Amino acid sequence: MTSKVFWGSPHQTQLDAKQTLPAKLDLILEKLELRQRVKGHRVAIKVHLGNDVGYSTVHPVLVRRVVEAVKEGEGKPFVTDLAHSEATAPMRGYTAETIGCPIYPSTGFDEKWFVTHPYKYRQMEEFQLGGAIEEATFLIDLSHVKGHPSCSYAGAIKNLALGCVTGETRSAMHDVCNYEPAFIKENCPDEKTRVAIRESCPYGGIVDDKEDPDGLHLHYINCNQCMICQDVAGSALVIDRESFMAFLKVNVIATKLVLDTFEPGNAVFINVANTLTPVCDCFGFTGLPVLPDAGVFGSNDIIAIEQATLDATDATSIMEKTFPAA
Amino acid sequence: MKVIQREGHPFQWIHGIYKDPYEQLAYGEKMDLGSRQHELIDVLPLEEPVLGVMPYIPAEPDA
Repeated sequence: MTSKVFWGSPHQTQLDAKQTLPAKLDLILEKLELRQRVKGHRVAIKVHLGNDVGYSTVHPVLVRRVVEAVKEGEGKPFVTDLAHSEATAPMRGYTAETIGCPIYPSTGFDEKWFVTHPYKYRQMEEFQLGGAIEEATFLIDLSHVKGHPSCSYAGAIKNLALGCVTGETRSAMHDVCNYEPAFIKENCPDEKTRVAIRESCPYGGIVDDKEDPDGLHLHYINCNQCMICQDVAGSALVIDRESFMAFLKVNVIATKLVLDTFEPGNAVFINVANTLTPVCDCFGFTGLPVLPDAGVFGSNDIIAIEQATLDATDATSIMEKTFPAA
Repeated sequence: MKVIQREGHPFQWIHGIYKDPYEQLAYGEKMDLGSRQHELIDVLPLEEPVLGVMPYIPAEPDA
């Protein structure tokens, strides 16, 4: 099956608003026939509203274009995100006045508004999905594309997977990397070696195990597989590919659970690939981008839009001069 | 932050080759979330650049 992905380039050849991203987003919404599909629907627009002083999330101008399109189609839109991002959203320019619709925390103000979905993956037994998602009948996954230390790339999948669940589920999802222990105590000859392994990581990715004074804990988020530790650790520390991929896979599982709450055809995906920072919007600040802007993408297929976005950003050159020092 | 290796997507260059977003999509495809095969459709193909006069932006909107 070949899915369509509509794309608006970040480039313009004339000094004309019609060639800029908001106008191209409008064209994408037309191609997706959004207005014709949302009549009478309670439409959840999932946007990461960021944290603290970050300003590289999807700009309110773009959010408003989507909200207006839903209203013109006689849908009932609301924007939703995690409670802590929703609570501080006005600091970053997101209010009902600026974007044109209410903003609700996806799992409630105190994370008590959720539905539990049993699903076994590694140590996880269930996923708690936000009530705002459960009660919506149409979904618009409006994502900012950026890098991410846990999964390298973050776009449409990550926006749903981590942004529509409770903190308890989010925490458990991050922990799936640690299902198999990275540190094999039996293979570590002595305390001196254990300390040397811990100190070998230049990125602070190996720390003492809080639950075992003779153990070590690997922070998968910090580990970029430079493998420096392997010269010291030998078989005492396992840097296993599948443990890293577990986080990316659990994101897919959570995304599927979210999408399964909607009737087929009642979800669209928009990726805004500008200000491509190396780390995610959860960090609460905006540094320099490390990849050039790649434009805006829209599709009815979440896998297709992610593939198209990856392909477009893969074809560009990384800007090493803009890397943060740490 | 620095480039660790130059394989895979550029974001993998800095975050690690074992964090593979392409494999994630293959997994998503297996879960019937969609298809990696796609047709990319440019909604406003670029024209040749036109040399023109910079548009006049009035200091007062109604002027």
